[in-house]
Amino acid sequence: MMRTKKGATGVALGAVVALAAAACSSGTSTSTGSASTAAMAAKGGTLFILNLGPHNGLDVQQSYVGADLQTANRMYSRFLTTYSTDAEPKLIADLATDLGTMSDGGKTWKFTIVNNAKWQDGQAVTCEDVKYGGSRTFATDKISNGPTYTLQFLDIPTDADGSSAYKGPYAGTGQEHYDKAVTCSGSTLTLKFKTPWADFNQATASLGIFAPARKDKDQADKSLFAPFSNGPYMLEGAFDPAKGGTWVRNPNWDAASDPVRKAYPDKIVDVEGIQPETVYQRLLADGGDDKAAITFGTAPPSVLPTIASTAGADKRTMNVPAPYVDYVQPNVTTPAMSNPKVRQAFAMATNRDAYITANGGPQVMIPTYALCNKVLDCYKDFNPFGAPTAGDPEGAKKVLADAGVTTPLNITVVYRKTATRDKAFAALKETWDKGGFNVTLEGITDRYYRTISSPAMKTKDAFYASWGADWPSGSTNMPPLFDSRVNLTETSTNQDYGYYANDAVNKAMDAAYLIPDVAARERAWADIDEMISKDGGVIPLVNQKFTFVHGSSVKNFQVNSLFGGYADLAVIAVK
Amino acid sequence: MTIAPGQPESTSTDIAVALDVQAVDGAVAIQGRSPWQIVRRRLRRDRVTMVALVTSIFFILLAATSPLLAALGIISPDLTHPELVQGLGSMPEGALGGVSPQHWLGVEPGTGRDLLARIITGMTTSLTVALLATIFSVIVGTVIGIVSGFAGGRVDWLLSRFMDLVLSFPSTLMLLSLQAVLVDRIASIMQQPSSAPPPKIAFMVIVLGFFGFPFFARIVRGQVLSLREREFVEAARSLGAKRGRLYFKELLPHLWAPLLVYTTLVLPANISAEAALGFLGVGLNPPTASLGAILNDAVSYARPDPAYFFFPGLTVFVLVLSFNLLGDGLRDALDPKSGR
Repeated sequence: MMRTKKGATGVALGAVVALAAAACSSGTSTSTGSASTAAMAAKGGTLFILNLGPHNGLDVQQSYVGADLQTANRMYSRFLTTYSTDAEPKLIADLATDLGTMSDGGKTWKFTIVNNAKWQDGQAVTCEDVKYGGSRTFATDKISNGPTYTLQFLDIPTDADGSSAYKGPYAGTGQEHYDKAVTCSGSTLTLKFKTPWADFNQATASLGIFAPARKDKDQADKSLFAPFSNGPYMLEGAFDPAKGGTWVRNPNWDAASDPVRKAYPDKIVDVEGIQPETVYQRLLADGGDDKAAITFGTAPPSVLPTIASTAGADKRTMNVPAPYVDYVQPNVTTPAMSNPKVRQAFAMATNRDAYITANGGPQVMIPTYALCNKVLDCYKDFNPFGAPTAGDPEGAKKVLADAGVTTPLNITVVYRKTATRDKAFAALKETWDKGGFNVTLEGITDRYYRTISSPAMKTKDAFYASWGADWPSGSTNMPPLFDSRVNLTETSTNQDYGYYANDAVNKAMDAAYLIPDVAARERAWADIDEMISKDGGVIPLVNQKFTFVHGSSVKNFQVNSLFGGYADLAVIAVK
Repeated sequence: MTIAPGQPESTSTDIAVALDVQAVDGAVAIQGRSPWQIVRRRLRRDRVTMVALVTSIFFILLAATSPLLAALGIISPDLTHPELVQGLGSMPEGALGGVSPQHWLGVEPGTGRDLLARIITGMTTSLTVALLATIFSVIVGTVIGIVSGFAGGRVDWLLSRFMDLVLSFPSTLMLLSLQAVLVDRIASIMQQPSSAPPPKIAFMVIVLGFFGFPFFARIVRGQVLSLREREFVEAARSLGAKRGRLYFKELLPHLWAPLLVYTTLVLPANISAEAALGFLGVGLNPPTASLGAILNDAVSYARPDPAYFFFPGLTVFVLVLSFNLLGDGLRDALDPKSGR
C-alpha cells in the first residue's frame, strides 16, 4: 500500500503530538460530542486558530496531516466525497452528485461532478479539473509528502524500476496512460484500477488525491502555500508557514451548492508559531480575540490541572478519541527477537499502565491490545497472551526460562525522543527489566521514521511508532504496516520497521481485500490484527486521546470523528 | 634563602614577605612563608570563598558517591512510583510536588521517580562531563599556549589565528550538528554501541573541551610571553637546556596560579553548557539523569508543579555560583597585586 505517513516523510517537528504525528484521518462509529449548544449560531465575526506550526502546506495533494486535510476540505478545497457533520458522521457526496458507482468488482469507479460548484474566479469546477488534480499525485518529483495510492492502484503500466510510466502533468511523459485510466465524458469521471479498490469513495473523502486543481493556476511545488479555492474561504494575501495567514469569504461560493459547509465566520485567521503551553494559557485566559480562538494541538498533560482549576473552563473543554495508536514493533531479525517465545515474553512484560501514566494519564491515552483503533469497525477485543495492562513480568520470566533463554537478555529499544517519552520508556523499561530483559533505550530526535526504516537500524531489537488509519478501514492499518511484499526493500523497511514477514498473514490480507461485504471485510482485518499480535509481530500500547479547549464565544465546537478528531470548521461559529 | 633559577618561589617570595610585614603591622620578626601558605591564609580569611569551597567539595563528594549510594539502595533514581502521581495529568499528589519523608524534594510528574535521587545522579553526569572537559581544555590549552608564546614568529601567528577561529565558532550549534557523525565514530573507536554512555560522554568531553581550550591557551601564552624574557629562562637557555625542559620545568611551574583560577571559572561554564545540551536533548540515554534533561522536562510543568522546576534549577544555580565564587576567591588570593 502507500509508502508514506506524515511522520515518515516530512515533518520532524517533534514537539507537537497531534499535528506532526502520523497519517491521516480515522473514524469512529460512536461518539462525537458537542460542547456548546448548536443553537444560536450566526454568520459573522473572525475565528482565530492558534497552532504551534510551522504549517506543512495548504496543497491537498501534498498533504498527509489530518488537521491540515480537514481544514483544507472545510475551507477551500472540496473533495468528491466528504464526511457529514452529524454526531455520527456519514460518508456523503460533495463535488460528486452521489457516492460514486463501483463496477467490475471494484476495478472501475464512476462519479458525476456537480454542475453548480465554482472556483474563486467564478469559473465552474469541471470533471477535467478533478482529473487534473488526480494527475498531480504522479509528479513525485514536484508533488511530495502526499498520499500515493493513485500510483499503486490506477491502471497505468510501471517502468522497469517499478515506478509508474506516467510522470505527472509537468513532465508529461506517459500522459496517454493516464488519459486511458482516468476519463471524462461531460461531467462523468471514470477511473480504472489494476486491483479492486472497494472503499475508494472513503479514500476520496479522507485524502485529497482527487481534489480538483486548476491547470492554469497550478504552480507545481510552488502551489504548496498558494491554494486556489473552490470552497467558502480564500486566502487573503500570502501565507507564511511560520506565522500563518488570513482567510476571507470566497464571493463565488454559493451556500446552496454545498451540502455540508455552513461557513459562519466572515474571516478565519490562522496563527502559527505558538508553543502549546502558551496556546492553552491564552485559551484559558479567554481574553480579547482569544475568546474566538480554537487550536488543533491537543493540550499537553502539564496543562490538564490548569484546565481543571480554571473556573468555567470545563464548558469549553472536550476530551475525545484521537486516531493515533502507539505501538512497539519487535525486530524479528535480531538474535533475541527472532525467537517467538522472546517476543511473547517481551509483549507480556509490557506495562501499558506505566506508559499511560508517564504520558499524562487516562485523559491522554487508553490501553489497547489491538493495532486497529478502538473506534473503528476493524477493532476486536483480544488479549494475545493474557497479560494485564500493567504487564506480567513474572509470567514473562517464566516464558523465557521455559524457552531456555539466559536472562537477563540484552535488547535495545528505539523510540522518538521527547522529554515525555523519555519518561514513558524509562517506565516501560522498568517492567521489561523485571521480566528478564536488560533494556537499553535509544532516543532519536531527527527524522525518526526515516532513520528507523534504514538498514543501519537492523541490529536494534524493537521500535516505537505511532499510526493513524488513512480512512476508517483495516485496509489502511494492516497492509501498510505488515505486508512484507510492499514494505521490505534493500534500502528501507518502509513502514514494516520490524522486518515482519509472514506468508500466512500476507495471504490472509490478499483474501481480506477481496471480501465484498464491508462488515465481513473489517472482521477479516481484525482477525489479521490478532494473528500478528499472537505471533509477537507487534505490541500495540495505547489509543491516544485529544483534549481541546476553545474560547468562550466559539459556538458549535464539535469534533468530526471520521475526519481526524479535530474541530469541524464546517459548522463552527463565533457569533 | 637561596633563590634557585626556575623555582616558582622566586617570583613572589619578596612580595609575600613584604605583605606579611604589612599584615602583622610592623611586627619585628619577619617570618618567611611559602606562597601557598600565604594563599591558604588569605583564603581562610575570605568567608565567602570558604563557603563556596565547602559547597563545591560537598557537591563533588555527593556526585562522586552517587553510584555507590545507588548501589547500596540509599537512593533509587530509576525506581518509578506510579501510585504517587495519580493527580490529573499525572501530577504528584501533595504539596511542593509531592514532598514527603521518603521523597525530600518530591517526585517527578508522570513516573513518580524520586527527584532528589535524580538530581544527585544528574549532578554526577553533569560534573563528570564538565570536569573531564575542563581537564581536556587545560591540557590542550597549556601545551598550545606554551608553544605559541615561547616559539613566537610564524608558529605563534598560526596557533593564535587557530584559537581565534575556534573561539568564533558557535560551540552549541557545533555540538548539535556534530553529534550524529562523531558519536558513531567515537563509539566504533571505543568498540561500544553508540547508545552506551561512554561514547556520548567522550563526545561531549571532546567537543566541550575543544571549544574551551583557547581560553587557557591565550592566558598561558600571555604569561609565557612575559616569562620567557626573564633571567632564569635566559640562564637556563644559556646553560643549554632543551626545549622540553624550558617548557615544562622552567615555565610551567609559574603558570599554575592562573590555570587554577581559570579552571574554577571554566568549570561552572561547562556545567551550564552540559545542562544546556541536556535541555536540547543531546546527552545520555534515559533513564540516566542529567540536570539539563530534568530541567527540559520541568519547563513545561513550571505552572502546575513549580517545585519540580525550582529544585533542579536551584541546584544548577548553587552549583555554578559556588564554583564561580571559588574561582573569584582563588584569583584574589593568588594574585600578588591584590590589595589584601
